[in-house]
Amino acid sequence: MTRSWLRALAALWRQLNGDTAYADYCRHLATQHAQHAPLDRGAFYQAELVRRWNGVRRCC
Amino acid sequence: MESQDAPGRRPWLATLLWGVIALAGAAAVGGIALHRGETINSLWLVAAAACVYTIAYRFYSLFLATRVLLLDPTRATPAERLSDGRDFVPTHRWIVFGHHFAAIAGPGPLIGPTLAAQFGYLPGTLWILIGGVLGGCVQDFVILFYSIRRNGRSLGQMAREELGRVGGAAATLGVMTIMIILIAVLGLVVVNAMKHSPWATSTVATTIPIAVLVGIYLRFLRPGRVLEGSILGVGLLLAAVVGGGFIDHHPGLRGWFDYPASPLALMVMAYGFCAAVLPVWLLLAPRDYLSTFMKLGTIGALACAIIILRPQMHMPALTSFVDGSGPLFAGPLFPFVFITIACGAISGFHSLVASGTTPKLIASEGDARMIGYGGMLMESFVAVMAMIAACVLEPGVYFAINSPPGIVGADAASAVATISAWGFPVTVEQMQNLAHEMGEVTLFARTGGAPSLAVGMANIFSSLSGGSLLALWYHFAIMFEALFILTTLDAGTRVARFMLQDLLGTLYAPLGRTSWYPGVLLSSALVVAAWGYFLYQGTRDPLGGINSLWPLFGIANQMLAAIALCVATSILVKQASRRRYALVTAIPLVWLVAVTSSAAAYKLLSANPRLGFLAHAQDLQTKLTGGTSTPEFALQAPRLIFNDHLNAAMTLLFLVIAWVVVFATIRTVARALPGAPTSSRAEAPYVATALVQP
Repeated sequence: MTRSWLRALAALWRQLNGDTAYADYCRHLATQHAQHAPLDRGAFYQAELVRRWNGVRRCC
Repeated sequence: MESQDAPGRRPWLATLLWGVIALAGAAAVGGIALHRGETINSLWLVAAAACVYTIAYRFYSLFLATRVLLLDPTRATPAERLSDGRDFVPTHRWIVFGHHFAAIAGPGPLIGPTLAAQFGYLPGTLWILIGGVLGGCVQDFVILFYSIRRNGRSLGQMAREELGRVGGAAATLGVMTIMIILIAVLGLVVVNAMKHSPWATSTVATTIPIAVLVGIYLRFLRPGRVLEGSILGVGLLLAAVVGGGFIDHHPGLRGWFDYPASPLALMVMAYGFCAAVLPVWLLLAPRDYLSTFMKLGTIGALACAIIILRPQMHMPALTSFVDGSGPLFAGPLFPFVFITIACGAISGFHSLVASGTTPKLIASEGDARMIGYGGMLMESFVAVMAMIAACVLEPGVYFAINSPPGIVGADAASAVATISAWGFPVTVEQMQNLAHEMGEVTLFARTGGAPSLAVGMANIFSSLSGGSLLALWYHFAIMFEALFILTTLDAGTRVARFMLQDLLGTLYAPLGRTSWYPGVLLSSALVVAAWGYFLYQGTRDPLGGINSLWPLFGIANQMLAAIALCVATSILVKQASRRRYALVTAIPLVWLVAVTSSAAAYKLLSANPRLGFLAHAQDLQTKLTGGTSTPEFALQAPRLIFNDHLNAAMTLLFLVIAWVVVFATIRTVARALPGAPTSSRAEAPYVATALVQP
């Protein structure tokens, strides 16, 4: 019980940090757009940053 | 909804529990309002905040969710309908909550309450609590919800759709100007914390190569391993704080980092320009990761420390400065406490985040309540903690740190004499000892709020380590504040650059392309020059710069909040069945319009040279032509007069923008009233969700 709880918490923490973003992306591509080849990890990170920093991300 | 009582539970138990919380909250708020002793325990503020927030969340946000907005968890959100694995991604509610809170909680809720403490702890605290639950949380929640219902539209787009083109254009112009003033005032806060402080300057400077190092790590060495990179970076940041102490004690190295305010302002401008034109992965993104970890960690630690230590607050409930003669900034309690504390009570800037990334991630409409309303409650609590940290200081010390030399005199003896004469005793030795303990040469006239907050935090944190390591804690707090102020500065410059490029692109198409490097350089330079001008002048202002810039920022931020509430009110009015509930946004809107308009009127029309921009210009002009001026003054005065006129013009601009949007709203409301359509046309049609609710 405690272990599964801890594991869920750890998964949440990793997702919060963005560590799982690449795996999530690969999964999304495989299930939704199987015809596209996924970017590699480095290219994906770079593309994500450029996309994310195109709008208001931080407040006062 | 999760918090509705399920049948079969014992309702009397819930009633009893909420009754106890309500009584405890009323007792705590009453206690802080009526207490008139020498000191008051900070636990009263924490208890009042906890009870008010719990009740507001349980009852008022539920009312908003089920009666006003009609949240529908069966309705598919844009994250689900438009899911593209990039912008639109259905995400777990706690993840969205974390991202949303990290995005909205910047330096504002720490600095505003610190400055507003000049009125005493009571006015600011009440405004944070009441403004938060009835204003800021409502704004964030409502805008988030309407953006979800409109496929994640931004505030500017919603303003255009709901209020017409004029309203939309005013909103966009408002966002751009607020960004400029915000960056200038935050830059000034950092500069004032670093001036003639080799320890602070070297630590803050070291954060730049550390961020670059983490950027390289995340890009090339271990792509996308954010947690690893951030742990490495945070370790290095802590080492930088210790290393700064070494530099400060090293007679040779010390001089390399010892600068007055104006050159530091130029350095911050150069830095801002580099951050805006360099690729994001190198500086901006890694700095943001570091500042987010540091921010959440430190805020959490501060909350724990305050709850464990329950420090006594020495600031009185009300000071004599409610009459408008305050040394940090001039202006009476109404409207200036409501302008000074924007973030933490109600911050228009949040509506940009609530209509930006967050609505595109929300998996279920039901989550909007926790993320929109709950996220702002958290930020409001951060503001309460900042108020506590400011009021923990002896009032004499607080005023000695925060008063500009133009008010209390340039030398230590005259400063302590003036402050003691106000009824807040402080001595030169006391200030020297404090500066020595904090590892600084002097703490006099460190305006801007960051240093006094750092002294307060150092006091609180060092109690945990048995009263030692004050200097380390002080510089840790400075580093922590500077880190995310600089993040806001980088990110704000970048966003303002994009907006400017959008605008310039209509004049000459290549300038609008974000990949055309000359366009990038030109627009970045223009944005940096705009905020840099205000920042640089702020460092040379004898009244301290904060005196004029912070109220301008407050007016701008509250004006943006008024625009957001105008949009929300007109959407509600257009829905005939829920028209009467438009009061939930209309009441804070009327309040904000009253506050911003009267503050702007004071800044424009007051005959007091410290308060009114035009009166100050007139005063200087009289002295200049009167022939009593020194040559130095004669050289400086025309520049100061020009700045006064510029500040007055900015105030007028904010006032005009706010009223244009208000009139657009009144027109929309008047049109909607007879035989209105049942819903706003811009809303996306209903699609049932296929997601299994987590």
